[in-house]
Amino acid sequence: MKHILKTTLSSLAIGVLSSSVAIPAFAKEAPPAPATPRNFKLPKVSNYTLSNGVKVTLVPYGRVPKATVRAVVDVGNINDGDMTWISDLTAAMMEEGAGGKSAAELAVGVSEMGGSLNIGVGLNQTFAVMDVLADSAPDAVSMLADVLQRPNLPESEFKRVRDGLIRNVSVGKSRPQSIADSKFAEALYPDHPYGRSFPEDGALETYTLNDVSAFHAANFGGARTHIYVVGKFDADKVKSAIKEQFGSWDAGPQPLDLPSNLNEQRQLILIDRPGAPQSTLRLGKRVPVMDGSVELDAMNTLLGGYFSSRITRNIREDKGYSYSPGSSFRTRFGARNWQQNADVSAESTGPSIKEILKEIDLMRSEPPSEKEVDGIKNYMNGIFVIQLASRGGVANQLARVNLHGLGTDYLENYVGKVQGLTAADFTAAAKKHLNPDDMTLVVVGPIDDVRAQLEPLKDRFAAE
Amino acid sequence: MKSANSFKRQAMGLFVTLMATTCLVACSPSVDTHVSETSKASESTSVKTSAFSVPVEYYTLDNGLKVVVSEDHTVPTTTIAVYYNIGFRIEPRDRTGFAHLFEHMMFQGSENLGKAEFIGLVNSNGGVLNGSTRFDFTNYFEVVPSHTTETFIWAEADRMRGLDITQENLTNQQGVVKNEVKVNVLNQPYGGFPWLDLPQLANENWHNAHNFYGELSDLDAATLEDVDSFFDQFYAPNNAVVVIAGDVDPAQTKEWVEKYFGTIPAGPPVQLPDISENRQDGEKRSEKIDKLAPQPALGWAYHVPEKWSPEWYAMTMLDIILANGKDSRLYQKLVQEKGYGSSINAGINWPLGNALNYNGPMLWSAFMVYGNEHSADDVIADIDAVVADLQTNGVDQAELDRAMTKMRSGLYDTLGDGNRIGLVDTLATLALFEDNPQKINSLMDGFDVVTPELIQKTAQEYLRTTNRSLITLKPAQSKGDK
Repeated sequence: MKHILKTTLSSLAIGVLSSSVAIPAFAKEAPPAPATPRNFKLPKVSNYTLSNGVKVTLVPYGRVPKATVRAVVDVGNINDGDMTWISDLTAAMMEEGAGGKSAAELAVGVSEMGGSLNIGVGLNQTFAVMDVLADSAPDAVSMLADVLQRPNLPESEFKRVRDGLIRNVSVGKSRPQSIADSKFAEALYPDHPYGRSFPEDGALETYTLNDVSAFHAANFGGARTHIYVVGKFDADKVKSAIKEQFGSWDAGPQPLDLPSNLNEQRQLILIDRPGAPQSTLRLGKRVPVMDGSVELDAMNTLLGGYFSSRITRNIREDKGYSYSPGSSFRTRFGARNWQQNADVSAESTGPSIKEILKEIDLMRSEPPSEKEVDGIKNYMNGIFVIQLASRGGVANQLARVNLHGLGTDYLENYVGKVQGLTAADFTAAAKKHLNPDDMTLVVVGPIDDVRAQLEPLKDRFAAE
Repeated sequence: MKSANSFKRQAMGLFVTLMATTCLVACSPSVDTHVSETSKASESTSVKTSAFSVPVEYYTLDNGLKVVVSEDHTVPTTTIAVYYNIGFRIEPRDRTGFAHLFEHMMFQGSENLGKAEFIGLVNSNGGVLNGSTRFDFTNYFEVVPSHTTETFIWAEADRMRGLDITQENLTNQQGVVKNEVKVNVLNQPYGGFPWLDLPQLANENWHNAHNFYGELSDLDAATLEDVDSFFDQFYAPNNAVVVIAGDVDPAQTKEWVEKYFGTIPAGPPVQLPDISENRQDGEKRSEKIDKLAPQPALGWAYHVPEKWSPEWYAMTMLDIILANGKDSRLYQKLVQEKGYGSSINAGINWPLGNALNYNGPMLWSAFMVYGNEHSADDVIADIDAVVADLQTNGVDQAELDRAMTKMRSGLYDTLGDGNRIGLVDTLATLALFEDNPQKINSLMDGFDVVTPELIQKTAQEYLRTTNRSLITLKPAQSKGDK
């Protein structure tokens, strides 16, 4: 054992501390105990709705003079129909000028607000976000109104924008992690947009500007829109800007409800990447939708969801198979799945999967120790505060609560629910929802090199 | 949310738990983590746009340890960071990647906390942590509930006092780091490009010009003796700063710092090698074949002026004018007008840091993936045209004002980040490199006096083609040959 120690007088005094316990040869000094936890107050949130259905949430927040203005619209890949990524192409075109201003003029306007404008598309929602100096919050509201309601959708920019998206798809499809994610989603959500991560080769090339205009007209409107303003801003000015800029927008359609049936079949999917030094793994299955309960989250955190998790300790800190393994839930509207991700050394592919399965089995068969349960409670409550410690974080959390209909008291009750967790909750959640016999496994790696390692696992997974 | 043009910031570190975007000046504006104000009376409806100032208490212990405390009660958490003045450009010549490997060893066991116990202590108390290795420092930080502040001052002091590493733990982390290199570089399209490649091309001094992540063979060759001597040489209190920011009482904090850190003996004075670079007077070019990449890319860089010089302030503004935001000149020309690619990523010390957190020669670097229907020469000709226009015609006051607005707004984000990662980073590096963390409250002064004339003069000297290094990345499969 190597011991690098700067010797000082104080380090010799350690032995005196804990005299009542049997002292090992080198008694260790215990960390100073924490003091009493301090109160964390949730930010004050005010909500209201315009007559056309636009919902508004205002949250005064922060110590620097900036504000985030975020319009969340219930339109995303779920609305793509059979034109995968038409929502992405539409959003990209919406950044190409609006309200008669060119893209370059918008960009200058954004800069003068000390800000940024981003439009991102997810499976369920489109996010038009501006983060600006506080005084500019009302101007940001106006600009977002232009972008959402009156995009120019200029013919002159269309081919360039579409080519850009095609290029980005090709780059996305070259990353082993994206490949694994897309195959995994395809297996878990067959016959649903949730399972179509990328457009087919050649598909984007067929989309026209008319398709984009039609998609915009059919999907964007007040009834699908929720505006969050978080930061330091003049509430009166922001309110009147919202009323003026969004009040007369057509209500448009209600959010699309497109159920994703639980029709997954467990699969073993091997994607060959000849010569790759690692295998990229996705292992998991569908689980019930979010309902505000915390048992599954807690179980996931202990299993693979944080640095001190059992799987990370095992395949990283004990075995050195992987750098950043992790498990998490992927949450869509009306659907959710659990997955363990890891990029592991090719020669450790089989052993890594075996260890992950071992940890899942253990979680299902034996309750965690009291120390583990307490650690998870502290961690979840600590993360809760850390996640809310920013303008963007507040907007994210509120939007998440609203998307999944978790209720206005979800945030207030969260800490209490976490405190009520017991060891039995972990076992029950794993037993009920993480049966490895129902799981799909994706391996993106040098398949010929690792096939022999996968042989012993064959009986746990259906044939390809 | 998926992003159409997402090239992640490179993280050379322990683990990615917190998105540590310490982005003074040119940062991607899409990551927003800012401070909340939940407990303080923010009833006042007045909107302040006056200068935002950070409380700074600064002192040095007898053993040479620098200490910065910054009180902020907006969230009941404390951010504790220890920065050691040892970065990857200082590592031994036959041990490339060692500074970073060593960073991992700081989590493998100390006098009172065994392997995994430091991480476990942070997590089980409701905190998150990370470490990272950069040009001129290696840092370790945790965001923890404020009632555990004393616990983590003790824990950081414990591992500064001494490590307790076994061969087994070293072997384990050699495996982890090799997997880190594989996932971030070897099995990744555009892996390591251009952030590992450009310094190796642009610099002449080995310290600035070697593989910072390390050759796998060098990583394998590391021994416990290397760990031992590196710790003795560089991980002493007189080569470090501890920053404690957040929901703390400075007087109480000082007592804890003195109690736990004050008894660690000083090490011998640290000798840093000469890391200077000569003025570059000829363009350098190279080509990289990336068999995983589907599209070609360009990486290019210029040596920047000496830090804190008037030209450095101007160069930092030039970075904004060139590549920060969609109104920037390179974006407008290369993306909006020509459609070569969808985004440009660039900055001083990009992507491993920002214009403040380094201490020595540095590059402004840029990266763009472009469509394989275009030629590198066309893209480069347009880059040349953008630069030539700046050198010939300069900028007007309106463009400079806009850049200043972005600068100020970016600074708010860095200092107002809710988990205080940017705040402690700025305080730590100002203390380590300048012995003056108070400078955090007057950073804008040097930018305020930048004139259009100085911008133009700086563009002429530092955006010279002969001061440029450029790498063309080519996919192994050229177009039409599928």
